[in-house]
Amino acid sequence: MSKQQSAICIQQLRFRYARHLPWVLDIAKWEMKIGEQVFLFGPSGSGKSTLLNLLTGMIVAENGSIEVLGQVYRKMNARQRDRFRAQHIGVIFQQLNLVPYLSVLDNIKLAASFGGSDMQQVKGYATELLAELNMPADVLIRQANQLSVGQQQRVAIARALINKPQLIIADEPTSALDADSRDDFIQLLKTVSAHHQSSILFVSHDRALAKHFPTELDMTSFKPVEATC
Amino acid sequence: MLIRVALKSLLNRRGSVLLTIFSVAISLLVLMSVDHIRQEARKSFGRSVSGVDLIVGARTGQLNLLLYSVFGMGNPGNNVAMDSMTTIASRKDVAWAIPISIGDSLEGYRVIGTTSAYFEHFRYGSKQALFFAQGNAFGDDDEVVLGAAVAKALGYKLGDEIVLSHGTAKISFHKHKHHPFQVTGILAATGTPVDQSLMVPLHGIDAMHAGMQQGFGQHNAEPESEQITAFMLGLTSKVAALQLQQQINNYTAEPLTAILPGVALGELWQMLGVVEQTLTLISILVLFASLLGLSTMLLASMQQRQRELAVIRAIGGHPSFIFWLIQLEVLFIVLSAMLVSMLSLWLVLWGLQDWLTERFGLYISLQFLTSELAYTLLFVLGSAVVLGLIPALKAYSNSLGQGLIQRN
Repeated sequence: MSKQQSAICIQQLRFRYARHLPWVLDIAKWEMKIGEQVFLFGPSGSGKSTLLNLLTGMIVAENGSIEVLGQVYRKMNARQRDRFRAQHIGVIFQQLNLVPYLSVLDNIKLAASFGGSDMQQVKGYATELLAELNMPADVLIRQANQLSVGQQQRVAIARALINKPQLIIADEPTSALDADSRDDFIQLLKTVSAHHQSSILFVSHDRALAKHFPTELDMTSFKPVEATC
Repeated sequence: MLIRVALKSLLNRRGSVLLTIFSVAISLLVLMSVDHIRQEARKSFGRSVSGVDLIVGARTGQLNLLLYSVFGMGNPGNNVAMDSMTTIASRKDVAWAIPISIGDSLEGYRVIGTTSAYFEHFRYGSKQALFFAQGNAFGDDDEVVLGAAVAKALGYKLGDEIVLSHGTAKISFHKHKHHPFQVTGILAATGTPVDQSLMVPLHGIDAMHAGMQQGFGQHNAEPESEQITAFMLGLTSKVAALQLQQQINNYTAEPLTAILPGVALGELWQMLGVVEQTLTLISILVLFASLLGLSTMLLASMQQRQRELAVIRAIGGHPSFIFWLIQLEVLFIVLSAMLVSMLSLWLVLWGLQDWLTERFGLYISLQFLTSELAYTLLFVLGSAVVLGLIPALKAYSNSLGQGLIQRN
């Protein structure tokens, strides 16, 4: 990967699901730098889901350009996009981040295997990450669905970081947590991500969480692409 | 990793998975046992008579004659005069003749009235002669030779005395008590109906019945001494068999039927073929139904597994990972079902083997692992994979179309 300044760089992006449907996204320019921790305010109906699908390469935009960590999805095939996501992006959902019947270690190993990490080192690194997240080491052998939601979300951070991604995308990761653990979770996410040099894009409809992040962005404030034709 | 995930996933849904395994295993058991018993029965039937060129009895269907003369099934309609046998046996192209007289029994086992020619000329399997495990052929009219299964089941030894009953039913009120027989020989096991038979001299039967006639005075008044049920012929030249069959069928002194055992067996297979094919068809349909059930089970579970599959996609798993995950689950289920069914088939055969041999003279071997079965199982595996395409492709396309975000 060449010298990259931006984690995400969007230019002239317009997206709609079908020709007869309205534009869902219309973004003239948005850039997020490497190492940034950004709060993206996305109320429902703002096209948040679509944006996240585009950023993770689940879907591909025909118009405009999306660069993630200097790579352009449109130039990759589906398998390459999945591979890229596994290696370079850690994803955290609001809940049920883990495959319920697998142990914590197996969940983390699965992510590592998709990312092509060295499987010999997974266990050691996972233990390290869990320690940073204030979790006992024996949580590794527990089945994912036996953990509390709070524990599951913290394991999700470890899972997201296992392939040493440059970018963490967290989609409402705290909405299933109570107020106290919410703040703890965000602090942990920020600290551990910073420690491992991962940028964070934190997406939520809850504006109150913006105070934790140095940069705040509002999806509704994106400038539209000027119609060229 | 894929294998590990598939195993854990199955373990997680062990209830429905176990039920599915059992349903597939039972249908496989039906399929395999129908096929195995069919083949073994054929083998067993085919072994029952060999080296006999013609079987002659009163005018009847060839299957009927074959069944009652060789397999001890059913009852003869009419008798044959001993004279007819003597006349036919005196022909130059006839090497030997074995008379057979049926009609009495011992605890459900058939008594065959015959001559020592029986032990000399009768052949089974691949032209194997009868062999005495103990003792020797009968000499006197009041001596009896036991088939292996009879001796074993009823516990008779050489020198024991046996009272026969009239008729072939297992329970008879007419016992020939006044004419007991002494065991002089016990035959080695043959795996044919011979094992379920007792052989007594023709004259012994006559003497026994004559005694009863005097004793009760109400038995069939026909002088039975001149009558037998059927006789088997060995020819000097096999080529003459067809011609002689023709001549016997046109025998003028009394209406007779002569059959070629091989041809009659062929007719038997043809008749049983329909039954066999029906059974096979049914077992294939049952198997198909249970494989469909497997596919349905997996398809139904897709609903609950949406999130899990979305997680796999989000952490970078390609939809093909999900496709193979489902197919692997299919394979695991079917392979375990195969193991379970083979183990239970072996247990069932092991449990039934002695009983079938003793009761019906059907020798069913435990050796059901033939190359043909291997092909059948491969075919089953193939069908399972094809049917597994339904849930696997469904999961594949779901996870392709599904975005990163899980909808609740």
